[in-house]
Amino acid sequence: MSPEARQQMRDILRTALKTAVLPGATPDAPGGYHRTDAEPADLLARFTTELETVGGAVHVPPAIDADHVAALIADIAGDTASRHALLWDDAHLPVPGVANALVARGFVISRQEADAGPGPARDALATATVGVTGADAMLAETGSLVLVSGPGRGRLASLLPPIHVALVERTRLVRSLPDLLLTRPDLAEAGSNLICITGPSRTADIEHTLSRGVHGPGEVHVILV
Amino acid sequence: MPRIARVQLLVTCLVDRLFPETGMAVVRILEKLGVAVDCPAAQTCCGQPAFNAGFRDDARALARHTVDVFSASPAPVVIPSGSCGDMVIHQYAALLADDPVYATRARDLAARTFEFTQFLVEQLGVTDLGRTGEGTVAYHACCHGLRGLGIRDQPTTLIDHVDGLTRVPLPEHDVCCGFGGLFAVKMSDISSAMLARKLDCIERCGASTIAVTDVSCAMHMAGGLHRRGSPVTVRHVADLLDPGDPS
Amino acid sequence: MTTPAPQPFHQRTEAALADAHLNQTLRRVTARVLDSRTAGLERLPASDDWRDHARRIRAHTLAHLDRYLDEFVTNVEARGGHVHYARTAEDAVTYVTDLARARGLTKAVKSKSMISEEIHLNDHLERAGLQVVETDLGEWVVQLAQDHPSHVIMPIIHKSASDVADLFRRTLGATDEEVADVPAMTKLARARLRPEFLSADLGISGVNFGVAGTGTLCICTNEGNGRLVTTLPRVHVAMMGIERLVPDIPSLGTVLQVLARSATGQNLTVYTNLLTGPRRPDEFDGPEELHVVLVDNGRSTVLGSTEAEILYCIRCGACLNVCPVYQQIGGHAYGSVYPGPVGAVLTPALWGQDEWTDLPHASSLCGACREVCPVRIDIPRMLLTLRAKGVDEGRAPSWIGQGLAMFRRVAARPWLFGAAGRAAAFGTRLLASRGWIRRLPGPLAGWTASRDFPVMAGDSFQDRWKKRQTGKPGGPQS
Repeated sequence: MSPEARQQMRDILRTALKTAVLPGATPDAPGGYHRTDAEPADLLARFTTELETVGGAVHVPPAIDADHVAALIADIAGDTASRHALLWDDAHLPVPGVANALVARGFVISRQEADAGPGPARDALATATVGVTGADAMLAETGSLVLVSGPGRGRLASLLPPIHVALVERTRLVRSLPDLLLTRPDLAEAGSNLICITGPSRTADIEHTLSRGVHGPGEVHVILV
Repeated sequence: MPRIARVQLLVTCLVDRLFPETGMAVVRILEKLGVAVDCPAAQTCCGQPAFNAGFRDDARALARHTVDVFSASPAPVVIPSGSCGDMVIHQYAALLADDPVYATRARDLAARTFEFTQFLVEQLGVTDLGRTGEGTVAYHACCHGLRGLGIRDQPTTLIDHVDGLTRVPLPEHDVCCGFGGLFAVKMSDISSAMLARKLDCIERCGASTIAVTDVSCAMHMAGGLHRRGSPVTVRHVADLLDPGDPS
Repeated sequence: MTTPAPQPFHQRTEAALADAHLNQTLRRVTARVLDSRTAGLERLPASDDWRDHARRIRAHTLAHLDRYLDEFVTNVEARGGHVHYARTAEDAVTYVTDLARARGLTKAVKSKSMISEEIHLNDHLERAGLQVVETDLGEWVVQLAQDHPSHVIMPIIHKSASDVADLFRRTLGATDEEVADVPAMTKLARARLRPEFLSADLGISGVNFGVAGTGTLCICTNEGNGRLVTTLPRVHVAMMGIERLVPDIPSLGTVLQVLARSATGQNLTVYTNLLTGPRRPDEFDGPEELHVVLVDNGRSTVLGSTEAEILYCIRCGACLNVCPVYQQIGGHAYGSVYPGPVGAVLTPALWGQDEWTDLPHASSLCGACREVCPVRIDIPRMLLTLRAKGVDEGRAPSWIGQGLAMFRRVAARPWLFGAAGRAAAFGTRLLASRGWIRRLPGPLAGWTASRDFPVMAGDSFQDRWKKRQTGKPGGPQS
């Protein structure tokens, strides 16, 4: 914005503020709310309940290695003819080697590269049936996943496919979004995008009747690792 | 609780002209509780109709008059209306905020003004008037009393202590009946639709009497019920607590 | 700039009230959403404290809006975004159409944005030769039906499922199977809109909150279209009211804690999307360009007024759902893009009372809106200040003005008040039969359209009181 436009904006607002009636306004910034209620004893149980309430699911593989995780993903994907996964880079998944293990189970793997707009590369990504990502946090109070974008961790894997599977360490559990933003505000600017996902895509636009999977994934699965 | 020996009654113009029996019931109830009642003869209207219509100068003139009338004595003021009560308790301060003389007096008046059921329950600590009655009653929460003054269970507590009265729930008991003063005249079609919804609830609830804390809403709902040919009546809580001598 | 209301307010409400289908749909849906809201807030411990704090954040931000907007602009630009301050609606649409022309953009996908409805952005873009596709399911329905949204978060609350099915059959050639139920129609929307997302070169979104301290935009959606719109097209334009700021990221967390709960009863919307600048050099996706259009269009005027508190609004829609007037007439009858209690204040506050003089009066002042507002905006207070402004501007009907002036002169003189009361009581007895009046004269006839009016008592309370005191020992002698 040009300095002149900025000055004009400031002047207009300052003039307005001289006569503004703003009940409850304080001179100091209130900051985020510091809650005083006790944290739930079992954050994982709460997370699981909340995610299930909004239509998601939590899975615990019998062993934490690429093969068991891939087996679970294959299970979740079902026996669909098109086993096609879009994955974050290996380095950004908490279990190494998942992509290879999926290939072994008959999956076609798409790796995201810099998106160059409409075209065959993008269309290929759009046919993926399962998106596999990590997550920076799980929020107990809402059953949410928090994903920060970055190199090797694109937005599309959690967005285009009809099924989203997130591999997350239990240590990533945080009480709630306000708690996370209070203690880790830096996360919001760590990438161009911080997305907080609370269950499958839904709409209630028609008669406030719930329906899943309208534009984003219709299924959200968390595999605890 | 400090004993309150004397109060001033702000009777409201609607009670004065349309429901004088309600005013008499209020007086009888207070006197039987040992509270002497004054009723300053110079009182007229609190100014709410003008205030709600946006005529602030007219409202201010009546507010000043009311402040004058009820400042002659320091005794608490009792109002059998949540709506006029909210006007005196909350709106006078804003209306007279820039008045060097009346701003303080308005705040003083507001601090010693009480809606009738709140006065009984919260100031006198009375919930059981030892009365008997009969019939089936449902309570409609009038908007200004409910959301302006926080009148919630004071009226129902008083009603529930009347032996022989059965209280039934009124569906949507806290939804506006559509009165809104001039709204009922200026936006008559919307107001009528709101009233119809309220009357449907009333006719469904099975009560023979609807109890309220504002006679304005009583007049509105009763007028609608009468038009429908319904036998249900709408009464101020005071009328149920002290129906008066049969004579 | 805003569309002038097509008909007088009374005609619009009359049509809405006569529409039984609309009435039933509104009653059913608002009741359902209100139940969800109550449950949503009950799940949050100390929800009242969260609300109080959210109010403090909004009030503080507005009181220092010059500083926070300045900071916001600095931070968006530091992340490589562009910001334009649009003083008017024309200014805002010109910026976007010029941008589209300069970049050779041809197809826009949009997520829900009230402010682009306010400035009629779609019309202007289409006139500039762009194809514009609404992608929020409700907004898509509105676009296909060439209709207008009637609620700030549920744009098609006025339409039933069968209305939408008919529309899809008619405009999309959908089969009966494709519109069999709501999930089927949802599937249809996904199938039809996905290719549009993949091929669009311009994404247009609204903004729920801008964060001054980081230049972050927060966009809350449930469907996921908000993510697609802000990720796939190479240019993202975010349309944002100048008041929609919070100071910092922790404050954002607080307002988000009450927004979805108040709106739909959800703990959070499915997607709470925080965007800080365009795609970074090493990232795989996201737009190459980000433009934030700060729309004033009357907001700075509102800020300088007695109605500035309405700018605290976080657009949850709870006041619409709870309003007994909205429940009767729906959103369209208000004639404004912002309907319901918030719209009855915001619309005339933004654009004056020439077009909108009736809106502040379209309320019984029941106060239900103030009670449910997550940031406790005192809407009734401002309906009253707007009514007072209308009177000062000479807009009140003369019969009300003259009537109230006479009433004041009478009521200021107790003896006259008593005499006038007796005269009125006499008058009501003349009009009545068996204690009730079926038809009041003149402008008061509105009352007796649906209800009878009681006859006034022959002896008033004051008369009885005087009589009683005279008879009492020690009572006044008259």
